[in-house]
Amino acid sequence: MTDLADKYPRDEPVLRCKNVLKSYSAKASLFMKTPRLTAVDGVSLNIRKNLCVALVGESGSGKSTLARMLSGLEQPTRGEIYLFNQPIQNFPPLNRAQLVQPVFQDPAGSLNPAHSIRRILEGPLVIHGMQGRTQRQDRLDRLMELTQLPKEVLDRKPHSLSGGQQQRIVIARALMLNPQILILDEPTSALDVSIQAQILGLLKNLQETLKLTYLFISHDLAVVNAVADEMAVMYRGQIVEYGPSEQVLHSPRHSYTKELKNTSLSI
Amino acid sequence: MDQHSSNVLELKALSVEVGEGAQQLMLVDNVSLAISRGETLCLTGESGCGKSMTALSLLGLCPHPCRMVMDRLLVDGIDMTGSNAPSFAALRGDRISVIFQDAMNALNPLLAIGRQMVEGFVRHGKGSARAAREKAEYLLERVGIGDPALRLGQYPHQLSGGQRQRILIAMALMCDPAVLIADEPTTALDPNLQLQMLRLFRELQSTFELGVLFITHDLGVAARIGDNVAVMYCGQIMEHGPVREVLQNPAHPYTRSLLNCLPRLEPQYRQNLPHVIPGAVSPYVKGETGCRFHGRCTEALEECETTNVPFRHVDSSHSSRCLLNRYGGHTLND
Repeated sequence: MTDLADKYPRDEPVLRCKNVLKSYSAKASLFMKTPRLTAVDGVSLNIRKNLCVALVGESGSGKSTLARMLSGLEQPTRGEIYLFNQPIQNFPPLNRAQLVQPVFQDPAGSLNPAHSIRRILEGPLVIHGMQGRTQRQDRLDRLMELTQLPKEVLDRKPHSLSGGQQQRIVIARALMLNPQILILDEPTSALDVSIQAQILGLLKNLQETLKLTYLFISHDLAVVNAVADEMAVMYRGQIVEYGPSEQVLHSPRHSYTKELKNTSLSI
Repeated sequence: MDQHSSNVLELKALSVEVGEGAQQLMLVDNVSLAISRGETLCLTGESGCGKSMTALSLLGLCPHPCRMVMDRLLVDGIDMTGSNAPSFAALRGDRISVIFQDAMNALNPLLAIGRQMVEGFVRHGKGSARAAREKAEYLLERVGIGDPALRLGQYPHQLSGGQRQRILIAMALMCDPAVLIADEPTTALDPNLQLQMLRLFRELQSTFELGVLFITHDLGVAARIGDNVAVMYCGQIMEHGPVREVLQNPAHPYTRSLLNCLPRLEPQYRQNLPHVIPGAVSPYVKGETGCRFHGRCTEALEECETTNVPFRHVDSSHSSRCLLNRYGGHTLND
């Protein structure tokens, strides 16, 4: 899968969606036609290589649903998603996982509480058939180093780690298979400001070292200001504004973006 | 922290310890607080600094292996120093109420909202179940929930996150408490909702003249809601003063570091990562000397490692625990 990524042209979008729509059937009642809830309503987005694209919007705007579809975890009702210019559904899940990986908001909820950190981190390697013990250990050592985790944590369980360490583990696991794209769904919003600063720094370093592409979902515009190259604003399932982050953040055009900026609690 | 008769909450020299001998950790060390009627005090600091433990101790809910000692605790004029569990239980929900962060887990999913709201009121002998329902309807309306009579019959899963949070606030106000403790009540919400909740808090607090202890790790939230702020680190209060004053002229290097950790929205901060405080919080082992922040402090002096730093006035209402502020004011008797 890395071949595909290496030969890929520089300015082409590595992940792209076109007119994507996702609707769910709401609770059915006996005499009424089942109503449908449209979570994502005709979204098109191009995520170019090595960029950090931020997706902002309030709860319920559809950003997490879009993220799940872009990670390949859910199928759109209509529309196409292309990963390295090929329809995402053409990739067998194991191949897809070597290209795009999600990182979710709640680190504690993303880690199996009964497993040791070693088992959690080795999981993706085992699933992908990496048999050699030393090979696995090498990969483990490399990722622990990249995410600045001390060796001692390997034999511990998730609950004995701090929130910041747990999120580092989640990030390390997502990078085990050397993917090209990370879909980061509110990766720091459950963390303290001091830990958030550390994780943002870590993500920036990783992006440069490993030449990663990020889709960074956040509701905190100040965080977006710190990390994003481009940003998309989502409202009621649609992207209402999209462009370079400095333009969207500092001279917003859409009234919703302006409103979002006014509710920011940044000091 | 001067003593006023208008104080609805007065805490003097609270310490919470856990473990024995060389392993003995001070989770809260000699913390004193005072909140007057209609005042919001924000207690802020990183995870593990002891802010939630302080709140739990005020409620008599200090968890089992921890030992709590204090010189004095006055809640709405009632002396609770050294009180036992039943007297704290009689106080909780009546004179002092609490709202926790997680609105989903704070409500019982099996009981209708009405039943959960009425329970405390009846238990504290405030009136009949009928009076309680009337009060619940009134309060739901006050916190911005439409059609309260219908809501009382509904279950938590039928309500949105914002509505559940509002219900918790209404529930905390059922017995007209003097003190409200809010432990990160808006942290899980998105900014728009967060702002709405902060406005609601402000409004209720002035209507009901509550003394509020608002726990938050977010200085941006503290700036919006607080009158005063206390910054905690490793079990100690490092800085205390009016919110505006502390945020604009932070006297303690720790407060300055926390402020520098905040990402900023201004254009000049674009693609600019927030500062990181070097090192990590390490719990305070009883008997260690020196400023607890000295290992991570960029402005530390040699004596910071050996001197136990007193809490001093920077000006009349603003105090800090730092040797660098030594020029100002007299030592506070904490």
